Amino acid sequence: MAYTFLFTIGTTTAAAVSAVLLAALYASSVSQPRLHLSFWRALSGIPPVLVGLLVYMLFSQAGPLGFLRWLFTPKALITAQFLLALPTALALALRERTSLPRDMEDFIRVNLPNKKHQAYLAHLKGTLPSTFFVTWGRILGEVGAATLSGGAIEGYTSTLATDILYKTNLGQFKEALVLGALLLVVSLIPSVFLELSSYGASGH
Amino acid sequence: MVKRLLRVFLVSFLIAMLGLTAAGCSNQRPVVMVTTTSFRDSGLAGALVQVLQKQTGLKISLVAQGSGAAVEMLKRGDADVGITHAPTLEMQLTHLGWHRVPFMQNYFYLVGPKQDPARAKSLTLTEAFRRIYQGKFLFVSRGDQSGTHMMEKALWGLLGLDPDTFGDWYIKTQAGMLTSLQIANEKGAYILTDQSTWLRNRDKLPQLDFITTSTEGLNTYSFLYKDARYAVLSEAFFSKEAQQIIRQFQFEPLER
Amino acid sequence: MVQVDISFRVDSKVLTINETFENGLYLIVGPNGSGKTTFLRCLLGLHPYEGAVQMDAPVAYLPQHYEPLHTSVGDNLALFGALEIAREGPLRAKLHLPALRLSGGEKALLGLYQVLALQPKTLLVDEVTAHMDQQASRQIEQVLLEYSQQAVVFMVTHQWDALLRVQRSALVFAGTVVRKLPYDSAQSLILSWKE
Repeated sequence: MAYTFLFTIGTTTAAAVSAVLLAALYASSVSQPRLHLSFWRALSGIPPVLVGLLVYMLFSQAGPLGFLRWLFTPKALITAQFLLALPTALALALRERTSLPRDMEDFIRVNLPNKKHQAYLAHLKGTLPSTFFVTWGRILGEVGAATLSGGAIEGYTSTLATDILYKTNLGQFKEALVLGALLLVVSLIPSVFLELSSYGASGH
Repeated sequence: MVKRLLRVFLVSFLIAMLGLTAAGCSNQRPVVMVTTTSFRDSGLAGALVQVLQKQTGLKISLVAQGSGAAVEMLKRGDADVGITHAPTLEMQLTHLGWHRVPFMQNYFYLVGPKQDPARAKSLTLTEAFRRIYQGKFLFVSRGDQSGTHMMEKALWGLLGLDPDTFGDWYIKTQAGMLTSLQIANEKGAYILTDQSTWLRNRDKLPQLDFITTSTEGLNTYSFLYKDARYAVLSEAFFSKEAQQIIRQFQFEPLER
Repeated sequence: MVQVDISFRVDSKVLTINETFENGLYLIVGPNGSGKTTFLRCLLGLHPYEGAVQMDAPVAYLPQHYEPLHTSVGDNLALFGALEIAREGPLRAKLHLPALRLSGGEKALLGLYQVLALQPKTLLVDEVTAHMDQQASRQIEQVLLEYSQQAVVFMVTHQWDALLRVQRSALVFAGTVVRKLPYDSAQSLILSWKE
């Protein structure tokens, strides 16, 4: 149980951090963020199980990356979580980028013609933690993609969420509830953080 | 700043990957064993894997899928070995050069409301199904292409009936065995279940009673492998220790 | 030095400006919608015009709706290499704060430090004092006045009293007529609007 707990935190954090940093780099380099935003926002609603299927087909023996032998290992699981987190992270980062008023776009273009990228990154920096937590929350309790890619193998690639489902099917409701409580506590962290940070940003 | 972020990105990604590689695949990639969801959820699959690992020294990753998906995964090479209980599907694999080793069996049970409104007690499964169909008594179907669902479809098939044409009395759950049993318990419906799930959970299902079973309901579990390296695993299924566990879970071990 | 010989369209009217500006602070005054901001945008090439503009580089611009980037005060300054300038001023104790938590006056000051760190020869400032009290406005005007010894500084403003404080010549927008006027004439013109 301790392994599953740490494993869940570890993989989801790695996936979300990677997704958020990549999203920041992406959102700070595009010149038409609004166009990209609608695309990624649409994609961020993709059903997780489809992402799982995609990763499965990708790493399947017959698939293009089958030679890596990643299927049913933590690597395939993290890949799935990363792909699941990416559209959300991108949509949030791009939205923050488009929140820059026209005057500020001009401000950056006139004053920092050679450091535009850095300026946009600096602008995104403040929201990276909240972007991370929202993204993290999306993959933390996810079952479908995690099962398809990682296989939900006990003590190896099972996460808190897949374990809850397994324990429930076994009829071990007490264990399932304990895991559920654990998942609940962990998944409350993002909301608590976001609540506190929005309180901090609005107060003086 | 770009460089710094990029570095943070790469470093955290590498650390995560390395850490998990070290933690997960300590030396070799484990043998991927696919089995049906119902069998994994019986708890026996996990217990057997422990025994197999101990006896052969192989590391096994147990993955659960529906029967159809499990056979498909073996065909595609996504799993190395499998435990399934769908003989017709397994034949597809033996034609492709797979070894099929039956190692245990149990029966599918028809269970239903205590009052048994269809008066199906002690009939054969086929006869009982006919009564249920004629009286349009509530019936819960897994509807998920699992081994249990395949068996149920085969029984309707013996009567020349197609469940897709059934009315409201035929409830499709698309859920696991235990959940489906609980639904049947709530609704006072008949349901086909594997013996083991029923025996271990009947105290949680007060409205349901054993109705009947017969030879059509024989449920044979086989170990499937292709690579000769895994023949050692098939030996281990017949060890004393394995057979004892199989009995504990209300299955009947088979002789070699 | 800035040389302007342009005409451009604002709403339905065409404005023509032909003036030369030596180093110094110039207020740009006139009623709402008279084309003051559009004039700055023409200079920056952000609005179409006919004619020619000559400005010494580098050019820096502090827009009307300036707001700091969503990161710390220190990061905002560092991006422009402005940390050193700010270490002396009132922001020095707030470098670690999120920039969005600054007051209106402090935000304007932050923007000012940013553009000043670029050492511009031409500085365009648009209405940063719009929502400030007199004391804060005066502080900003003082900084600009000082800097204008080495650059041409344009400052768009709505506050007619700014002119009384800085006592410099102004570019006055009145209908289709745009003129650079010395302090005295600009002041009497503006006071005549007030009546």
